[in-house]
Amino acid sequence: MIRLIVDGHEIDTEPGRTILEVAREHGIRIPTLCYHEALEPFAACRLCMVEVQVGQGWRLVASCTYPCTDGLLVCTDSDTVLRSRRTTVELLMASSAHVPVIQQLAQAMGVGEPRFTMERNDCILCGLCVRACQEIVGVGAISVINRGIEKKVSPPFQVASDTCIGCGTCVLICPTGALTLADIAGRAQTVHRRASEFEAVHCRLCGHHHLAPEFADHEALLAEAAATPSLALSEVEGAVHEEAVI
Amino acid sequence: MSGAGLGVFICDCGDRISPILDMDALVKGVQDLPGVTAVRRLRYSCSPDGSAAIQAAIAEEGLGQVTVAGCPSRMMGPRVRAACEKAGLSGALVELVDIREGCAWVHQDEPQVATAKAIDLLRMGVASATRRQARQPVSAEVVPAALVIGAGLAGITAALTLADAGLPVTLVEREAALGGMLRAVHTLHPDQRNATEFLSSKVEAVTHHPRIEVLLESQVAGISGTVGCYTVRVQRSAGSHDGPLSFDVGAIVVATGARAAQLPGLFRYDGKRVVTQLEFEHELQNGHGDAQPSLPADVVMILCAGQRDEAVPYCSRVCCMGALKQAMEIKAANPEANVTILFRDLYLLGQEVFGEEVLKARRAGVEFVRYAPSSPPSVTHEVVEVHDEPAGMIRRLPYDRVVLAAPLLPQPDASAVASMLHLVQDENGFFPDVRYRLRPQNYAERGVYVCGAAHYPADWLETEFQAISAAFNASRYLRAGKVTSNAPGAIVDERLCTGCGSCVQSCPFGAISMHKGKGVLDLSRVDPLLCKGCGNCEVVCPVKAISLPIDSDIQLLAQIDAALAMAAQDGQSRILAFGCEWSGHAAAELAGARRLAYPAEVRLVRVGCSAHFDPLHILWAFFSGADGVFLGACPPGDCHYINGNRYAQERINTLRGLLAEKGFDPRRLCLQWITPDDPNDFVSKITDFTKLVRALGPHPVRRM
Repeated sequence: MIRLIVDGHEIDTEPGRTILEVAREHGIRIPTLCYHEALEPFAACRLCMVEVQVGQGWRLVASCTYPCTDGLLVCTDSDTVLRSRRTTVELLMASSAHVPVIQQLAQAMGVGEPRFTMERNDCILCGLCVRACQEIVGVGAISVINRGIEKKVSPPFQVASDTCIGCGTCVLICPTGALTLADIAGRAQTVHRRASEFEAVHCRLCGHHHLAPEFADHEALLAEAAATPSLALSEVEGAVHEEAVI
Repeated sequence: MSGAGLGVFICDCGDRISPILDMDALVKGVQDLPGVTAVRRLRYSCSPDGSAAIQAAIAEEGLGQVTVAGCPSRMMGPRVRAACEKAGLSGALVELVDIREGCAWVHQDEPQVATAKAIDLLRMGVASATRRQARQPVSAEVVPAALVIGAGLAGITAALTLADAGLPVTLVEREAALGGMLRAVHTLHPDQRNATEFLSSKVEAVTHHPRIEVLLESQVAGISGTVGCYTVRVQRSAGSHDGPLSFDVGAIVVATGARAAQLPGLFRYDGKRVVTQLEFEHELQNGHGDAQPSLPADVVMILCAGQRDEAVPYCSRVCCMGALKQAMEIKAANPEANVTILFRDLYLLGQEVFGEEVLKARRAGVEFVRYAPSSPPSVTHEVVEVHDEPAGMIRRLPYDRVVLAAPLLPQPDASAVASMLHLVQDENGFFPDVRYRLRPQNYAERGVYVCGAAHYPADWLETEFQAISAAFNASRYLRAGKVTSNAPGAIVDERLCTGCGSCVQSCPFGAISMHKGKGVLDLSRVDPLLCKGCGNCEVVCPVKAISLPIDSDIQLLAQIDAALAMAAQDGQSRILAFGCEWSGHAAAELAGARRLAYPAEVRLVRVGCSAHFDPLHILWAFFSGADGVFLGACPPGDCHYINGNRYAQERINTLRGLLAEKGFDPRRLCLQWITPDDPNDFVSKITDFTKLVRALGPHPVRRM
């Protein structure tokens, strides 16, 4: 049994617990986004930051991964902690201000208009879906790809996954509703039965044939034809069609 | 296992359940239920402290079963079961009741109703838990040897890859020589390499490989045994002196390939002036090396001949590339030759490389003419007449040779192979990849792999790739040495089985077979390594001799009773919903997670697959007081157990007909396709159904 002091309350606990686990057990609220009871802690969202005393000073740590030690002093609501969380939420709002979970956090922490803007995105990169697929389902059909602002959740090589079992655990665990099964397993209407199938598009000239999408862009060719009145329409259509097919 | 008592743990989920539901009422609601020996409230059942509390209770109170009420089993199941297993309780004896997504969060505006429903859900959970049976994972040793059926390019490549990986391989070929269709081919695209040389180096390697045994003029006559150890019987040809062979393998690679169709009568096909592409390859083979060019000067190639029509609806995928290759070869030998390719669509494997090939061919003077499927070319004695669709005119092309792109068809004995190996055949007769969309631990891999054109028409590059990939999968499987399945495999009670064989026919996985019983009856037996636990056999069994260890009839009927027990008292209407774990139930959980409300009279029972929607359960529900029964299944084509939803649809249609015949309003029974990631759709469907049932009022059976 060890004893730590969280916000002035003495708490006895078993060794090996994290600060977040102990705090939750004792009704001390620490906001989280990437934490889930069913998964190993990930320390990605940085919302669960708390201050702990290290030596003479205080240090910001992620409470979801920081292990309790005997005599540890923890502060979950100092100014430094709150400022850190507010900045995190503000950064999240840059791309996800429309997401209800983020809005609630912003409201609770008094974060107004963010100073930054990014392309609107439902995904907050908490990694819950990726970890649920790996740890709960045992499949690993999706992962986080790319780095920095390019980072996103995707099946390997960004093509419809054929390992996804369609259980929907990722969709269920997603806090923002950013994910659908179609994103992962795909629901493409296909012409040919191949391992990597592409979505078929109707030929707009004859209507009978299916084309791969990269060949279906007649607009440019037709526009060119319109600008060249000397060309007979049938010729243009023929050329377009042949081009589109070959 | 310690004792026999059932411990119920009700989770506050911090403050996510307790403010909505009256937790004390829940405790009171379950503590007097039969079998329940301990009821505890936990702040978090999933936290380390919560797990410790459950473990302590198992040890102290001698619990033999545990029910945890909190969040969905799909999410927390693994963790809670692992915690219980640490305390010595089999995870199979742990039941999870979803009172958060399944109740509190969808009915948060009506706490009283929600509490009453949560008590019902707990009673259902307890009813099911007390009837649970422990089950063990099944496993089998794998014989480290492989059989490859068919010695075309796919079979040869797979055999070489497996043998190079150190595994003994038996390669069985029906014909007298190795090589299959490739023997008839002259050159291979894209680099025009000589097919004969390419093949002979491979054949050489196979014949001299110390770990490959080649059986020519032999056929697989039968395969018995099961996952891990298949006993193969090989029949040698009549002329051979060797008798039939029998040996054991762990993995089987099916590389039976395809055959080129003969086209008697089509486009005046005569095998001389009008030939198929494969026959023309032969001509190219002979034509080369001669002093004077003997290749025909006017060649018309007709693509999609006898395919992509009603008889052969699919595209053979290799002929466009083949035509292009042949055209280039003729042009290379005789630049003055007139080569015209009549096509509907050009399908070129690997667009980037072969798009270039088309341009190259056009520059070399090969003409491409597009025809419409509605006006195919016609071949007369002198010319080929075709309506050039884009140009809008009729072209008359004189010819020395017409080359037809005949379709590749499945082997004539494909269905025999399919039934021997329990392979699925698609509508065209090929063996598509069947990838089980089930939890990986819930099925044992069978060790049967398909590659090459047996799969679907494939060119040599693709075939080689598939063969290597199949061989790698097989070698990984064989090297593991053991297969394990956690699936809730069905069990036959031989005392009840009447040997009718319905289950054998209904099993989508070929897991059930008949064997001689002690008396006069043949009894059915379920192969636990092939069974995936869909429950279809449990429904078709007329005497209910088959049951799954989880979601057995007894468990489900007890759940239905528990769900409807209070209906008689409060006089409110009840909708019983059965949801397939992968669709209806998943969508309901998602609706909970998104806090989308749906009517509180719905009581949801989870089953593994819609194949398990049993008319017996539905009728039982109506008799027990359900005003309506809602069934949520995966949309057609999405069933995780191949075609359980189709079975469900037919059963429900029949049952609705029967109900109508007996004067019972069939609208009270409703089967809907539910997508697991569309909670709004689920909510609207179940809400509409509830409104309808409310309008219909209590039904006559219930009023009695």
